[in-house]
Amino acid sequence: MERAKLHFDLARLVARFLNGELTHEEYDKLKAWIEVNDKHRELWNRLTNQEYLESNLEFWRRRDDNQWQNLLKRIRKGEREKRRFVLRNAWPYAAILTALLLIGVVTKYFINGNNSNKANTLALAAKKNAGILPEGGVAQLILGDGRVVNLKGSHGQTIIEKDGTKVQNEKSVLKYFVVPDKQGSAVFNTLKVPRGGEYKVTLADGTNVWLNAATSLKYPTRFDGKERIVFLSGEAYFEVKHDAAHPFKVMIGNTVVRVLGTKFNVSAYKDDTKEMVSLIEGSVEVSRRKEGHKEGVVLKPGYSAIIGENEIAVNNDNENVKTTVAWKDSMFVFKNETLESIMKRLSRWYDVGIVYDDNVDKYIHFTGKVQKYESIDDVLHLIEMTNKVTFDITGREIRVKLNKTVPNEKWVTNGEEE
Amino acid sequence: MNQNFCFEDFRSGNEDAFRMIYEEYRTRLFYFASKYIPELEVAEDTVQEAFVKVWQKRCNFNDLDAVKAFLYISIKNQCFNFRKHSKVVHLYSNSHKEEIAEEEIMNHILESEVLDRVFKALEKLPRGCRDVMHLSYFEELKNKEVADILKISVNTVKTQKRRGLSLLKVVLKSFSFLGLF
Repeated sequence: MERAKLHFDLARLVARFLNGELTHEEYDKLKAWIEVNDKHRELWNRLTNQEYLESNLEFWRRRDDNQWQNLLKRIRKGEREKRRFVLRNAWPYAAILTALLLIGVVTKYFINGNNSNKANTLALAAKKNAGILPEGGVAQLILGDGRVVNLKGSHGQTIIEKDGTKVQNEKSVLKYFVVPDKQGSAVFNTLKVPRGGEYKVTLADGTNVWLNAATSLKYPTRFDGKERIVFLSGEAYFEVKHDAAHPFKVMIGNTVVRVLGTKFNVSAYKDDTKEMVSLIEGSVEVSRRKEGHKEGVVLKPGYSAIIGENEIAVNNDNENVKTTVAWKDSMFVFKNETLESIMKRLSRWYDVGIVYDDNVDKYIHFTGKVQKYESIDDVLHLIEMTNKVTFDITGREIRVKLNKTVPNEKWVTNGEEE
Repeated sequence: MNQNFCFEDFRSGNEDAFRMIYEEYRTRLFYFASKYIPELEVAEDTVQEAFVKVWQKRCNFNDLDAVKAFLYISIKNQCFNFRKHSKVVHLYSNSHKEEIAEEEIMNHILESEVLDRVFKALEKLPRGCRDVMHLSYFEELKNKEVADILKISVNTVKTQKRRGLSLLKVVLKSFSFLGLF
């Protein structure tokens, strides 16, 4: 109890710090706590990280006003039916899940039993579970007033925004309709796709945007100004409605992609070091916002712009450009791509964590192609077939290990693999 | 907490006073429960159950901090019990550590409390001001660009930026601890 109260006090100090109200004495107190051990420092770093705060505050935007009524009913009747209901109902699910896991393991065992590489794959089968599948059509829509609507592809619904805009959700596509009797100025909406999900949105101007996993797009409910501006974090494929009078701009960090009407892919994950714009059709200008001046390149179809810290590089590998948009067509394609980059993409799509053993070379290159709605086992198996690495799956964590069954082979780190 | 709140009312069985406590704490407690139980319905239910208990024992509390501490501890206990029962599932999900250090619980409490305070501070900002701050600091747009997007004058942008609390600047812009002190 006393320890809990101490932490209420600490929380007050952290909040005062974020608020810029912390006094010197309070700061000393807070600092003393942070320096006790690494766990404290770690927590402190999280609590003062913008992205962490923003994403976790989603919880506070959920509104469910029935909760109080439920509680009132319960205290008035002193009843606890609901609680028992929830707990009792969890049991059958647990049983089914266990059964599925067992079936998974057993099936794997039999399938792999016929394999020539017996000893190896049997061990592998026992370690793996039923297979991690992506979630697919799920997303969150954050409305202008901060309300959050959970979207499910299978679940049709219509939302009316404050300015009168009608938003329709059907079959993993979100669609904006501008209504003639619009009220007030346009408001910003944000579509957030979690790890393991993907979604498509048709904006008010008819532009189509496919959002990949772990991606968020912010846009107005309608485009009233001279320019059509949207903000992207993550990866998305755009098919922009042609309208020469109203240029379309995608803002990604300090980079602006300016287009008239065209098809292109943008990859701008914050945990990647580079942003990449790949053009399929039409023409785009990629430039950076900097004090006083602008530097930019104009892309032609089949070209990619790779935006690094100090420069924008242009690449004209047409095949590569096609590969970058394969995700939109439910494929997972990697062409001469490093293990690290492949695993990063897998971790977003299957919502898994990746851990490497120290002796694993993350920069081996692989080439391959799989259906992305299949279980993660398929793609991992494909990589394992090259005999370079093996994978251990525990829960939602994947450990990448050196394949020790191949005796001391000299590594080829920059060549293309089978 | 709402200014009209009176602890004695709550102790004497006033439902409105109880509701104020509930509305004040429910979200952070729900967040706290979700740290242990990913099934949100179950997590939400532990929160309700804790409040039912608080209501039954309302005469034993002397102040709000005592109520709050009781709520956190009660939820923690329920979460652990639930995880024990559903061991079958968790055995396969790598999270069957029964013993969670006291330290970790305290850190989760701290985190829930801080997030709640940050959210409430942000809520106090007027809507227009929040938009300006977001575009200016998070999207790093220039005043002119912000004005174009929101269709307001550059001067309004400037005023709104001044009005924005330093909190938002801090929350919306990553910074390092060392860089500030």
